[in-house]
Amino acid sequence: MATVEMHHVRKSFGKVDVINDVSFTMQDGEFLALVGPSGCGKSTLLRMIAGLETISAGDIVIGDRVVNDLAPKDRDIAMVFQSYALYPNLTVERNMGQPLRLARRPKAEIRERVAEAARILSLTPYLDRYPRQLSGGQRQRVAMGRAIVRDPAVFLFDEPLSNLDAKLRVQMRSEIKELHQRLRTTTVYVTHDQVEAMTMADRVVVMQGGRIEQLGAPLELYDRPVNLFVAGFMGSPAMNQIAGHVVVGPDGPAFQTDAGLRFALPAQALPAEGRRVVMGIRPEHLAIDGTDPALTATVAVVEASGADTLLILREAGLSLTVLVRDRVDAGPGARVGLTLIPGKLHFFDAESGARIAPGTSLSPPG
Amino acid sequence: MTVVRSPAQLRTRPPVRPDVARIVSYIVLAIAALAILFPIYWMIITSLKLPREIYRTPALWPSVFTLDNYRNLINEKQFLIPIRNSFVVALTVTVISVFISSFAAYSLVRFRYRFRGLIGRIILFAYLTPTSLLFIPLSILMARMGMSNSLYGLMLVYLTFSLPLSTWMLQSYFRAVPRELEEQAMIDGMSRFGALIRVVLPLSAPGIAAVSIFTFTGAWNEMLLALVLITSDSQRTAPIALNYLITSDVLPWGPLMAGAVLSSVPLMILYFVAQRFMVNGLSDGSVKG
Repeated sequence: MATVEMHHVRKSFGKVDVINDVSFTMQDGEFLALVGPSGCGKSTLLRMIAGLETISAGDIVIGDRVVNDLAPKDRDIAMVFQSYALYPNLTVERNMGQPLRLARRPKAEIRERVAEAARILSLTPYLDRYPRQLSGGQRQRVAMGRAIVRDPAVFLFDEPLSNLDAKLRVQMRSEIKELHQRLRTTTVYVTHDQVEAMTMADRVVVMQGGRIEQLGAPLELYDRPVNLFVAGFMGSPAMNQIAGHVVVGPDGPAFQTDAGLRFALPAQALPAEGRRVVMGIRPEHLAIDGTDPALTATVAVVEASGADTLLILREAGLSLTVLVRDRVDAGPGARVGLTLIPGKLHFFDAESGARIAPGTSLSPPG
Repeated sequence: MTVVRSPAQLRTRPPVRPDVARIVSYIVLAIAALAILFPIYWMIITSLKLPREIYRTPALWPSVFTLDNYRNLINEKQFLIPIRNSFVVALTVTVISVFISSFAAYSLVRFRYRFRGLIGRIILFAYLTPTSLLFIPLSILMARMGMSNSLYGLMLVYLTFSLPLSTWMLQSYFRAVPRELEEQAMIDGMSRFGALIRVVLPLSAPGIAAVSIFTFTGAWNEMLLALVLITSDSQRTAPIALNYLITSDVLPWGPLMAGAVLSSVPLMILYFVAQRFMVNGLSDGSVKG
């Protein structure tokens, strides 16, 4: 087990920067998720930690060693690939024992550790099989078993669940989390699925274009996204984003959309009057309310999933997603009233996308 | 994979009884096998006939079996020497070719460097250049290097033709080995070289076998360059030695066929051994579901 530190790490292919000045520190035993859209550099970053990609500048520290120039095998890491990468010509037992065999450990120890890992992952009946004789989920477990047996300082996961079907993915998600709780091995987990990142990780790194957009605890990212990108990326269904500006009329302060819709809001919930802003509100922070609605909109789509109901509403060029716990009997075309929960609003600068704390001046600092 | 047919397709499909289909396919296969095997049969049977029988009406079965042709070939014409020469040349060329082209192909497939694409294309180009265009320049080159009329010179020349082909063929086999598998091997404790030797090459065994067979057969059967470069009896390879058996208008069919049989035996053994390695689907199940 070990800490992992990234100090101003860069990676460029020619003139293109794929990783741009990334720094973070992981505590011993921490589970960190790297999340972002395709091509954001998350996999490259993971491969740099693994030593499969060179770094152009900066330092990567695992434990107390700078590993910049160490070969992957000398970094004391284990990696689980999206494609599992099992040796097709070796049995499950030999696949799992391979790292130990290459490290020339005694046979008895290899057998014992493989048996133990197989027991943890319920693979004992399959030890003599070949990868092609296993299902996707089992192959995934073998790949994890191979990572476990060597008891590495750091686990690296590269989208390990992406090839599994939805049900198995949820199951393996909790298995990996349980495994981490049991072994407490420092883990870096790359995924494009923000739900995976939110549910599994102690802390989440949201990346875009080779940069870290935000690093924090899952709920912190959810509750206080630092910019529009993070706000839009974290959370499913995505946060509603409404462009407009703050106005102060005779009836008090309000947020006015570009199309002219007005939401009267208490002054302390709003940024100061001024530049264009984007108001963000999560689908679950909009409530259906017939008595004193802030807005009335037309139902376009109703998606009832049993536990909750998702409505897509349209009004004056706006498309709003609303998530409610109750069952809704309004069908498409119906008019419903909506209220916003003032304390749950997010405001972002329309130009830079940066978060604006309510009640602060919109003039840029400094 | 399942093929879904619409009901209409199912209806219009003529009913074929499975045993009829099987009989037809066996008949077709038998015809193909006959067409391929008859010349070989004729070669062997002619090599076992007495000269008087060969020049009489051709018969499918000799009335008298004789090994005279072989005796004549081995004792008087010393045909085992060219067989040995061919074997030494073909084996050396194959080993060196597979060794070098493995590294070359791996480099072209896995590494990123300047002019990689150009180098790949030049290799393909070298392979596509016809031998008949090059044999005169090559013979001059060999003469200047003092390597004409020597088996070493011949090996060197053959390598110039076999290396591009082997490299080109091996590339596609290496490309089929998932990159992650190699990376996994490197994380598990191998160096890149170790991963090449212990992961990529074993998984490319069918490719290595195919390349070896191609190279060996090519070098074994090659005649034009050997004819140009080799001048003395002792350095002749099997194809030229066979050619030199023809000294008059009347072809010595008996020894010629015996020589052809002797030259085919090593190739047959090679194919027999290598087909075991040419089983495909070795990398099934290594990646994805």
